Amino acid sequence: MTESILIVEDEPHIVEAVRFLFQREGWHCAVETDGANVLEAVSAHKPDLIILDQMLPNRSGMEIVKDLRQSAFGADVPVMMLTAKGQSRDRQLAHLAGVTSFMTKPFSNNDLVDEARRLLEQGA
Amino acid sequence: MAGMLVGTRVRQLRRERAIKQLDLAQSVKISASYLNLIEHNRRPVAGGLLVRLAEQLGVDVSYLTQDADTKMLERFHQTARRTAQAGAELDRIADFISRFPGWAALLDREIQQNEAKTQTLETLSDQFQHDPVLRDTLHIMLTNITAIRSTAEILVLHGSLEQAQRARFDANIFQESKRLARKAEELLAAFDPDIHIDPSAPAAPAPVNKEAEGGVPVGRFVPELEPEQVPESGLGSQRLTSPVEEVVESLFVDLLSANPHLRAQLMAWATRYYEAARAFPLEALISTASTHHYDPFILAELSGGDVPLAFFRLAHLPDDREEMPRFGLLEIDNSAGVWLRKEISGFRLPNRSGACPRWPIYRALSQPGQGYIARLSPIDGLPCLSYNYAWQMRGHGVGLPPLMHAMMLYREISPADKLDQTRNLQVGFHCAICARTDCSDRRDAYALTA
Repeated sequence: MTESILIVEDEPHIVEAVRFLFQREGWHCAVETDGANVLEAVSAHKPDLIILDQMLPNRSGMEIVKDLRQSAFGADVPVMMLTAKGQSRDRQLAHLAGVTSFMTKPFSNNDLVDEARRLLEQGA
Repeated sequence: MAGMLVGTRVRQLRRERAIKQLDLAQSVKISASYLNLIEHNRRPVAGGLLVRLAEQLGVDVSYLTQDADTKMLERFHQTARRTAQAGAELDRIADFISRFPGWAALLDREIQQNEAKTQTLETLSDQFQHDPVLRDTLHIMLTNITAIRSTAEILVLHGSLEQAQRARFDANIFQESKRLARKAEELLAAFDPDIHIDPSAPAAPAPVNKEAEGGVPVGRFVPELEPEQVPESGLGSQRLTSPVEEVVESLFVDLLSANPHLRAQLMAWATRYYEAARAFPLEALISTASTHHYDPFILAELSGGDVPLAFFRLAHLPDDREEMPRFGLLEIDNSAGVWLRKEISGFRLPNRSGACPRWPIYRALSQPGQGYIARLSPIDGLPCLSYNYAWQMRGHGVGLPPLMHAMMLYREISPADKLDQTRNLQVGFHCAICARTDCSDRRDAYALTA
């Protein structure tokens, strides 16, 4: 079965690079760029993993995770949050809100793919 | 007496009244040695003893105890405690203040200034850390960097990419790097007002000068200031009545109504324009200049030798004549303060003060009267050809060092230029945004160093 990943990121060139990397691994990718539409996208795509940028238009990554963990369809989906260095307090709060792991921008492609693989295997 | 401690006041009043220490001590029923300690602020004085001293000295108690140096004393105590390792004698602070009031006042001033600076630094630091604009800008830059790094890594490590895919990633990197550069400039402009960023500036080459900011229109071609007669004998031959004042009043009425203080500057600029236009009539200039590659030194020599006027003239040619190069101009004094600036796209100029110390205009100041031609290879702009010249201004008093001015006239390098023998200078705009980290002339750290 092909793993499915939802990439939530508003920067199109990051999306293009990440999608390229994931598709080379054979994973199916869906993309959402607006924070306000993420829950709907999760409900529709039922991803095995969500890559979630912390700073998004309309809603922050943390707000999204909080709501996701309260929902029936997103309570157990692993979430990898993309954050900037120096946002340690935000990270703590996001972890409490239910984020599974973090990836610091700018990231190494190998680290990103390895972490995504680990989360997918963990959730399988 | 304001600013003294109680003991010091007692001592001074006693001396003014010519009372011996022993006599005063006996009259207030203490030993002379104890009074001596009081007078040197090494023993506190209060209660009945204070009242008796006041009575004997003929003053009110409040006169002796008025609050004067309490704050100074407290500041000295705090400073000494903060830097305990210095070993300041805490028990002798009052004595120090009393015995060396001048030094104490100086030290107190230094302490207060230091405290004020520390407070300012803390405020700025706090602002730096919590400024939402700064935070958002840095986040955007980090996003650009993430996109560039990730995409570049793909290009390097995945050699078998399809050509179309590779081209798309190349384009992404290009776009992201442009956005990153723009954000970096905006960020630096927030800290350095000399860095001028105009988000609406057109991408195509266009003169940028201070007219847009309501200032003198340096670089603007003004037909009304061009002499009407075509010279019969080439450069430097026209003599006409000056229309300068009339032109300034009629052409720049809006500028002047917005800023009446601009009149003197406008008049000086227009007078110079008119002189330059007379010395270098347009059509004769174009004809002569094109055969000499628009070299201002040659043009000056042909017209009588006024180099700054030749520089000025070449910076004020019409924009719509495609056969003529477009020149930028910078005029400074010997404090590097900017007098005139006309920027051309691709090579930025400072608005008010100094730029890269490697710019040849600064070197020209050390060799007044000698023309200096150099290629400019900016780290973040277009290669240019520059002409540099410095001269001494007149009439600034006997015995005073001369006031110097210098000009840099520059243009984009064209394929027709033969520059094999021309010195090539690797330059930047300002050290803070120049990535030539190995530059021996650097005076400020590169702000984007990791």
